[in-house]
Amino acid sequence: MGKLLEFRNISKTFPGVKALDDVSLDLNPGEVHVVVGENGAGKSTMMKIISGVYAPDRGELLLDDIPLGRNTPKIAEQHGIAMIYQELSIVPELSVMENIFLGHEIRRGILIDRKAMDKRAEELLASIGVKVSPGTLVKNLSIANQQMIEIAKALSKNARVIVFDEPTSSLTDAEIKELFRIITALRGKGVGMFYISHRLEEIFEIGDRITIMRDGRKIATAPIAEMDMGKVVEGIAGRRIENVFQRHFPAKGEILLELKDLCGERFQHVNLNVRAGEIIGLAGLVGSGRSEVVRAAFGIDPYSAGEVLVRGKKMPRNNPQRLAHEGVAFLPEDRKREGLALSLSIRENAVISALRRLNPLTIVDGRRERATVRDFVRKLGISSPTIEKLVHFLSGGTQQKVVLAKWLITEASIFIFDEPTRGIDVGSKSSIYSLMDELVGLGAGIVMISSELPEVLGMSDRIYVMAQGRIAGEIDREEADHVSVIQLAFSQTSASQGRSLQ
Amino acid sequence: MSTHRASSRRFRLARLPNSIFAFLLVFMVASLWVPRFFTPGNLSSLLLQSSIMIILSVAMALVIIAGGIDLSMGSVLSMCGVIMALCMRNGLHALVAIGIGLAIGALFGLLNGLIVTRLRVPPFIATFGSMGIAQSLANTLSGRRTIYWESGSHSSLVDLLKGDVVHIQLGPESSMVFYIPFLVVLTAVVVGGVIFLFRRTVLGAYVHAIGENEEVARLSGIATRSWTTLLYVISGALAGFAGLLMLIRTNSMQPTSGDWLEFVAVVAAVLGGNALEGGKGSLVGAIFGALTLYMVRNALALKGIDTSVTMVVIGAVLVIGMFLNALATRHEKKLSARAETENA
Amino acid sequence: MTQSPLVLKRAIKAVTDFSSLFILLAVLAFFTAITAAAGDQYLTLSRISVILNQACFLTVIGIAQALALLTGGINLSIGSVMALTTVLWGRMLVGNAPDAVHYIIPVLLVVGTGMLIGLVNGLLITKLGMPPFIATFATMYACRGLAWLALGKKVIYNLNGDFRYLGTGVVARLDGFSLTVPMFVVLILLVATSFMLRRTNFGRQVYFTGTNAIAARFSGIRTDRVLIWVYVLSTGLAAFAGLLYGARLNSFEPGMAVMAPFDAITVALIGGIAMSGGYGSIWGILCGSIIVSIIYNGMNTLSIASELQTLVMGVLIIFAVAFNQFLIKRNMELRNELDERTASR
Repeated sequence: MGKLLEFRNISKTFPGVKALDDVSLDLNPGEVHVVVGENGAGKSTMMKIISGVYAPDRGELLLDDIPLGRNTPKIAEQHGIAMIYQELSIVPELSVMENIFLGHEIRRGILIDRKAMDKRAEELLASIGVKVSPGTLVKNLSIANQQMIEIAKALSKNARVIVFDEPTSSLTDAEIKELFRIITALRGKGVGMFYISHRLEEIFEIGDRITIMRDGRKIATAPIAEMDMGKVVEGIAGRRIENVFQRHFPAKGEILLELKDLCGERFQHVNLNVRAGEIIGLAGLVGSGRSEVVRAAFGIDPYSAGEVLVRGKKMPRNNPQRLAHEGVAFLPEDRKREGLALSLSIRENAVISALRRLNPLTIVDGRRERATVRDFVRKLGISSPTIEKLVHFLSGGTQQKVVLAKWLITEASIFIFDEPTRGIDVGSKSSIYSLMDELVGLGAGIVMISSELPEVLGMSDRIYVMAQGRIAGEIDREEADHVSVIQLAFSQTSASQGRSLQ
Repeated sequence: MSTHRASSRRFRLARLPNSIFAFLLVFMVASLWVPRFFTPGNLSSLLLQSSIMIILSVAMALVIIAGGIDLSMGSVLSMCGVIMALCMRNGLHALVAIGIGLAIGALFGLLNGLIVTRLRVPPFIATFGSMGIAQSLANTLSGRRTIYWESGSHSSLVDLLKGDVVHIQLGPESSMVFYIPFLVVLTAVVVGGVIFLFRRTVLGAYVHAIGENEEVARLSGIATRSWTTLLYVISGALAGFAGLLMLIRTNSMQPTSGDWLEFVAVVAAVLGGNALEGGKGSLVGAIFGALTLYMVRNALALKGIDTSVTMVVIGAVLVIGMFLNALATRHEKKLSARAETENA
Repeated sequence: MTQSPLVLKRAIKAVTDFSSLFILLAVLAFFTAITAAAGDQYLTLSRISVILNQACFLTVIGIAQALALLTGGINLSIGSVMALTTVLWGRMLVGNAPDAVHYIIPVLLVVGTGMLIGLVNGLLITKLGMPPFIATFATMYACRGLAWLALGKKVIYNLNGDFRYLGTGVVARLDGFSLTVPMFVVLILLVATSFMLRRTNFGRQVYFTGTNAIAARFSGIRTDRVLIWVYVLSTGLAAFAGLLYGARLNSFEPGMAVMAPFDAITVALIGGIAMSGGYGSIWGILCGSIIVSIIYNGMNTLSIASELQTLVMGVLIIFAVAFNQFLIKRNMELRNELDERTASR
């Protein structure tokens, strides 16, 4: 049997980043080919080349051993390549059936043949064992079922190659089992699948072969049977584990931020605290309620019960300005949407939270402002020729530093980092780590949410692990390892009483 | 399986446009408070009064769901009406005149569509600009005068359409006359046609997809630019059709008769649950929105209340209606969340 | 890749920085050429003075609209607010009644009432979550109705002379050029607004909120408060524009300035304010209003039917925005490229 799809010596460069460097890879019919690597390792770029969103700079893509030539989303689709993105590409206001057939409806003349589509949708959904009626509006489905709709959509186009981009990131255990059952069924039908995931446990369960990516290069490809967890982790992280996470451990001071019994829509009874001089890791699967907790604590979203204390002072709800005023800084995960005004300059972004401090009389002191911003640009190593450069044109790592500068200028002392290094290149990563270390050295307290275990283990003094909206446990640095964190993250409701491993 | 059916029925109930609440509220208040409101004669005339706005707001909803807006509608109405009236004054057969008018409306829509999709000018600005253009053409062509035509065999169609399809005398008073004018039938046919196309062809799904996320729509293989252009063509043609209705109703054509109507149409559509950011909404909702606005006007007029008070009340109705919509949406969300936990 | 000389790039960037000035020159050149062809001189001192004087009112409502547009909103209530506020307090500005209070009191009352309506606008938008288009449409309708209700079909005319000086006063005459009071008022207004937007904390927050309201909230800006203030200022300015308008016409009436919000949008768009929010300069408004004023004036001198003016405006808006959009994009790229190059040397 020939190869279904082949990646031959493909390279792709973006401004400032070599996203893919001479990568070769293949996919057999009926195979689940797992691709792992850190964020920024090049997995997503690879998948976007397959689906025709990006064109490679060098190298070629072969389908059934024939070079594909020009590739666009339309061409890829005609060749039976389907993507299932992490961010769902569904239209919430339409029905399940309308979503499945969006863009390739079954028609009779100019009219859509609802009956035929209904029947076909029913068949497709049944073939993957999803119990949803085709007429239901997609906005009324759970995230898991929405994802199943995407799979059904791929099947309705007779997909031969399906790319799963972190499909389980927002699914529960039972839903993941369901997904795996579907994948197994697809394997039996000869569909080839790429499967990108951060969850190392599941790849051993579902994968046939594995490819490890790092910094845009392929580290290894091997049958899954020949790999074990240790080898994979080593391959993903490289040798950087030891030297990237430089930590000094200053004496711990007073409690800066404390959440007492915080309850909200997606989290219950969360207790945690941060002292001056320490970094708290907040681990757990995506969807376990980590981000929701800190967003509520910072006042972005409402919470139903509990208290947020800053240096022992009770904070009002829904008032980010007050928390910012009390020295709390929030560095959101989605920097472009929540952290920055992209079409404004570094300067205008950097001073926005500290306006009142910089200009108590409300009139902007231009010279002082420029001096302050220049000072922090230098301190943080922001690589830009001028402070007037538009943030839009900066790389992900530099953008994150601008967000950090914004809060440093406010003289914040409590920092909430939501996925501080997501989408950031390796060089900037280590400098952000050392900045975090420097901050706690100066007496700040940090809450760090992260999906990357090495980062959590390497940076935190203490680790809180969340599962299903609750704190499943708290682990000290010395006792924390891969296994203990994962165990807690996957723990079921029995953990809801706040079981600790200590 | 039975739980399925139950939950999907509940969703279908929730699918009724939220604007129905504002509509029912106004309807009940008006029926109880205004003695002559709930009479066959008045309800018939209410339908006649609101028919033009129903056409416009349905067209507006179509564009709004796709994430756009068409501010040129009222002026296109005037322009097309003036052109049709001029054609008839010059002895052209009414059918030819109507054909020319509708074609020019569609052509103007095409222009809007191309400016939006090719020049990438935001829809608000593009159609705001073309509003001025159409207004100017309407005024220039008519010389700022109302246009009449001599009645004759060529215009007999218009005379016919001015009449009623049904006319039943239920009592001695004029308020007891139940009638359905041709205009209302025409409106129902056209609006029904648009809703039919929206539901039974790919149009509805594509409009929602484009408005929700144009990129997702494009990746699904939808030619988003062509579809967007088509939407403006449809709304231009419908504005032209509304011009025809105006011409028939007044038996003449004023070049300013469409002024402001586009804004009322936006308001009716939004009151009907169409979000200005696109991706969400309903054509039927827009109809209820338009009916609500005209009902307020009708009821206050019957009560003999000054038009200036009517304006204030309409402003207030708008605020209350939006508030009701928001409440209904929140309730709907809660329902679906509950349904989901039940399913799980 | 061949790189064009730095000097050229700088020049292009300078042009793109002042796009509306560019349109202004083009429009001016057009009318000069046409009039010259007819053997006349276009740019006479008296004509400039007429154009500038006309532009004054447009500038005030243009600024009022621009404030809303900068936050990504819109203010449709401008014209109705002009009518309602002046009709409510206008009687205090009539003639030389012996018991008349100083005209500053009604002026303050008018602007204050305008700001109050602006507060309503702001609250509808932030607290009830209504889209600005709908919220200000509701107040537009309500205010117009209230204005009619307050005065009926009457007109307040024969205004206080001291007050009229505000809208018609001439400070100095040089040849045909009259330096008028409104020119000074508008100049002060421009400087003040520009200062507020560029050099105060509030102005920074306006631009940031307009560019990305979500990020503004995450940065600890009270976006609701910023928006409310923007609508208070915008609507208050509209009321002030009503005073200027009435002073010039020597009357206030409930039906006045119906098209004002749209003229204001025209001025702001041609002046380079982006409807998506967060982009544009207040000085662009001055350019925009002068452009509109030139076109009206020019078409009148060429005795082109007034109904054709909206046609020209419509075409101009579409092309000015398409042109500005192109320039904004080019400008950003050029700015970036120049930054890179200056650094690499």
